[in-house]
Amino acid sequence: MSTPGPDGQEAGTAVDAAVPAISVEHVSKTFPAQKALDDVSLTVGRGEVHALLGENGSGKSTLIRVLAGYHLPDPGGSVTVAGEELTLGSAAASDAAGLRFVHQHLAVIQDFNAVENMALATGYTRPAFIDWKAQAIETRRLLSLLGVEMDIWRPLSSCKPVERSAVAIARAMNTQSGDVTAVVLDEPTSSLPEPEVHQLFTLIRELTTTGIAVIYVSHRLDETFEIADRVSVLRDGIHRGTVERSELTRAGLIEMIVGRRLVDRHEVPRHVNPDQDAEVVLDVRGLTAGRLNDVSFDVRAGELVGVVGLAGSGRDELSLALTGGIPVEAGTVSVHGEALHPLSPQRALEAGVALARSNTQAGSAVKDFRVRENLTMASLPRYRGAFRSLRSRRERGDAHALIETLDIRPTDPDQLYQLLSGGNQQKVILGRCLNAKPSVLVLDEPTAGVDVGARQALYTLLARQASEGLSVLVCSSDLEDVVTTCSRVLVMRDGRVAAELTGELDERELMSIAAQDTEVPVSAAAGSEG
Amino acid sequence: MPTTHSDAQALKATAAASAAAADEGLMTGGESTGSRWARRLSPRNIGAVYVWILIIILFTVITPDVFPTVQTAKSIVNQYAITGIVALSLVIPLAAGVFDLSIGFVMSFAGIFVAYLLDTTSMAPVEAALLTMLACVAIGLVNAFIVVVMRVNSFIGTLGSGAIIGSLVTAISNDTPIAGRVGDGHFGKIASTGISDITLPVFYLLILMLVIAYWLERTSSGRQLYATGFDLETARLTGAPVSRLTAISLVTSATIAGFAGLVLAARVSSGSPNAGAQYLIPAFSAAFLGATQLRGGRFNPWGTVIAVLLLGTGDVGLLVSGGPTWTPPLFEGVVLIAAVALTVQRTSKPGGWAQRWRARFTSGKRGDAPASSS
Repeated sequence: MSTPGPDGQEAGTAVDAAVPAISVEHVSKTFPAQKALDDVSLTVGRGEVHALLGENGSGKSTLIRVLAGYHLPDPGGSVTVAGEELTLGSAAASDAAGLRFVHQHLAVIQDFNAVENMALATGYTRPAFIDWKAQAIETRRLLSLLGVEMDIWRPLSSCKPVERSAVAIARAMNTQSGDVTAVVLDEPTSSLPEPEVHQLFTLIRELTTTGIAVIYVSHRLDETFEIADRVSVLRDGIHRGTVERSELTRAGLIEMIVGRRLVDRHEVPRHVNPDQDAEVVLDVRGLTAGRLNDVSFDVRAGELVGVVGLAGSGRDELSLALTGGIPVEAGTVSVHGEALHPLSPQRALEAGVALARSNTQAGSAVKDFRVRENLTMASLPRYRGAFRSLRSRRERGDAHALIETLDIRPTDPDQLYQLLSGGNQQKVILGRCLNAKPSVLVLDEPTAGVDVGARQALYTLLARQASEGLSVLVCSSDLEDVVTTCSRVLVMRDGRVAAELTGELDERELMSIAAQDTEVPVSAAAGSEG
Repeated sequence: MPTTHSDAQALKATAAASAAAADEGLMTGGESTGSRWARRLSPRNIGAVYVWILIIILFTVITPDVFPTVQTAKSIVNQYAITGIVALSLVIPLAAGVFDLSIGFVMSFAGIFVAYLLDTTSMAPVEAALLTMLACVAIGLVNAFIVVVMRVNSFIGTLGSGAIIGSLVTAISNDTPIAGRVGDGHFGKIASTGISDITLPVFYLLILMLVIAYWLERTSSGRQLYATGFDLETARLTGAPVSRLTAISLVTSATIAGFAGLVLAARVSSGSPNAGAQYLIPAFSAAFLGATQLRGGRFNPWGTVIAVLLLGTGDVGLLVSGGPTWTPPLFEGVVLIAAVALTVQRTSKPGGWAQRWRARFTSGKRGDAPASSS
């Protein structure tokens, strides 16, 4: 399956590099309620990484589903794959044309090893008495397209996340139904820790040298800059343009995605942390729980504090430990000077510590509940009326008010939570916390799966809440969250607070400290302004 | 709280406005009254009612002389009131996300135990009944201990405890029915007294339905119970006492099932060692079918009672129209599978197979699921 690369170094094979891998022409898709795609035309070249960007509801998924043959577009449009017209609305035709799709959640079986997972798509050479040797050879061949060498006999549950991604992508490269022209990767980095993101990029690069085109769907702008050859942006179902890598600017891209100029990070109204004489609201001393080992810090009233760290540093467990989500082995968490002991989610809430996890995480919100029910879930005692009844009018009133304050769409409090977009789900989760009238708000990955527009709204909301006296702890693997909102940051490493930085923060600086192997004295790592 | 001053102001202002809106019944945003009724009456919301009507029409056509009579209607509600009570006992643990497979055995136990007490002691019927209820509460506590403290999966745990209760029943009864004072008329009154041929169990059922509905839908602990069933981790992290709620749900189911066993013993004038077993399947059928009704996938008492009526009408109709005795269980089994299939379809994730399948047969509004990662 050697087709010429973008520079044609493997010239001589059958495929013509001049013929684009995918050519979409005048494709529209109308749903009863809305026009999801409006006359979209774009081309994806051979061996190119083509990023597809757009906010939630911009039409990205609809376009992908048209390519996959799941949606039949309106009459009049056409899709050409490697010079041949694609029969639209047929998944089998898309597959035969060489279009492959790797979903965000990979669809690999964790208890199976690479060989078994590969066979899910490629089938077995024999119906019984499986020829494991032949299966292994096929598995290695597919993985070698990505330049990946791994233990193919180990269950994927014990492999690195990037290896699971590799197996899922390699599996899509099988040639059971013909040569592969292009593969669509939907949010491929959403489950990967930061260092492995770069390994995934290496692997994608390797793949494109064989001439296979990659359509890369992501929310994360920074990744796009790193991996994409060209970027196409959709907004409101309309193709807003395709930009070459050399012409990419962050501001320009955001402009295309949201349609209006958003304030960039440096223009966000910066929250100024209060003086040292402000009351210490959250005081953590010697906290040991899960991976956390002897963590101490404090947060004052009205302070916005970031917590960063690589996966496994304890950053992700801190938010749970503070709110009683995981058992505390040693140390104390005090709020307004009162130690919470024993620490349970109930106790934490009563003391005014509210936890907002990412809508992509388990334990963030009840998906089968309505928006209203999710909004009031952490403050139910407040609605208790006669005979322990729930005062539903008051509950509904509060839900309406929160929906308006946070600009949650749609505005119906009886809408099912699971039908909301990611950004709006995140707003509901935040609304639930604010409705509990907390004095400390702990956020865990607040912007995972949230588009640019909603992100900006979230950052602004946090700054406003902090300026009104709320203490906010932002734990995030997305350094952009922390750099944009916080002027004090704790860097976690090996379950400890490795450094504390204040003042103007820089993503690179944070990353380099988080990734260091050696301890940095807290004072030495202090930032420029202090 | 020193936190959300201006937001709190905004909250107050809009809260007043929306409370007024709620007053006028404009609870669902801009939706018109017509479309709200259309949604309430849609087959998706109350499909079982339509199926029920179809069943009534079907049997009326087959046996026009026997089936469509007041007598049939009365016998259905009287006979199936006990099934309804057992089904309601299941609604609570199912809403909390746990199974209770022991309820059939608890029913048998309650019947045998009260008959045994009345047979071997000189206890007053009321005392015997109260002691039996206490024993059922104790069984519920054991179930709660197995599931909550020992962390045994509820399906396995209550299957095991059910077998143990079954052995207890056999030990007490020697595997033969106990009649004695259970049938002497005093005790029988709790099941046979009635108002114009509608017996007391029907009223027990209605009262239980209202009480459970109030608990699940109008109290904060009911809300937390549903949250526990839907998403244990979120419920726990938002401060719901998930262990206590799970335990309470299992104690409640054992207590109500025990009560149903008492009523059954009074009705048939004896305690029978296998009396409860035949109620397990219709109870599950009704609870699961009930979950597809009215409340969009939530186990709820209203839907459960509708489902019991449907089952009862189907069973009685089959027998009245000359169906063999094996047809009612067949009907109940089919309803159970169909109901669970419907529940799965409702609660499946956006973009899952069930929703895609459904999207093909409905308006197509859900074709582009908004919660997907676009």
